[in-house]
Amino acid sequence: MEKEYLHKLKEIKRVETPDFLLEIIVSKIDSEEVNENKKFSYSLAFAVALVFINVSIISNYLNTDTNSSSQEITNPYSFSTYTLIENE
Amino acid sequence: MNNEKQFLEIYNEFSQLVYNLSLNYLQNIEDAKEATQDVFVKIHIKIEGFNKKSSLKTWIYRITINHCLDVIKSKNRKTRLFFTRQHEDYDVVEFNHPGVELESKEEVKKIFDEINKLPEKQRTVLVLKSIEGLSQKEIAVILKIKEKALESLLSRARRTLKGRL
Repeated sequence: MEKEYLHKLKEIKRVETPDFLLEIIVSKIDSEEVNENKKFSYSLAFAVALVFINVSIISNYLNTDTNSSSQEITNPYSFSTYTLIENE
Repeated sequence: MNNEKQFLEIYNEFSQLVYNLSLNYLQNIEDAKEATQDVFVKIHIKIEGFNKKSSLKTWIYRITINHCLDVIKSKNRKTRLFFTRQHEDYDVVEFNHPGVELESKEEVKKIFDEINKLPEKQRTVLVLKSIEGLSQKEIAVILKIKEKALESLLSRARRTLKGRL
């Protein structure tokens, strides 16, 4: 039986590849490349958006920082006013 | 598509090998076509990284074998979602191998049913040796195992089949 089944397996013929297979493969590769490009574009857009958000956060922080230092300059006046009132 | 000419040369030289090997693993025309397409997409993606440590043929054999085994695993996984399986064997939805003569179809199907129940390595060794007709040396290079280990896998596979058929 062993020899029989081995013989049967050896009898299996090699067949030709279907003709249209290459066209499908080429279109699959092209769509794969389009997907890759899309992925790259999305990553680029995400990176740009991230940089923009970071820049705006930092610039906001710097502006807030400038405002507080100007408050510090004005504070002594308000403190003296407060003292004046308290003295009354 | 980059390197179109090189890719076409590879396709012309190896498409028959990939398609027939896929048929011998999956035993279904539609699955083999799908597998051949996917293997060539993989080849196209990976060809730039091919380090030429082995021959191109060996490399393509490895990609095809790994892909077919992945297809079988994923089909088994899908079946397991609905039914509890006792074994890791592969159930072919419809035996449809164009290389098998009509009169011996039922007999060959029975043999493949038993081959599909073998562990992955034994199945691979048997397919490469008994159907693809590769030498033991070639198979050992493809599977990256020693010839002694290969002989043992082959004799275990044959012993199991002998007991079942």
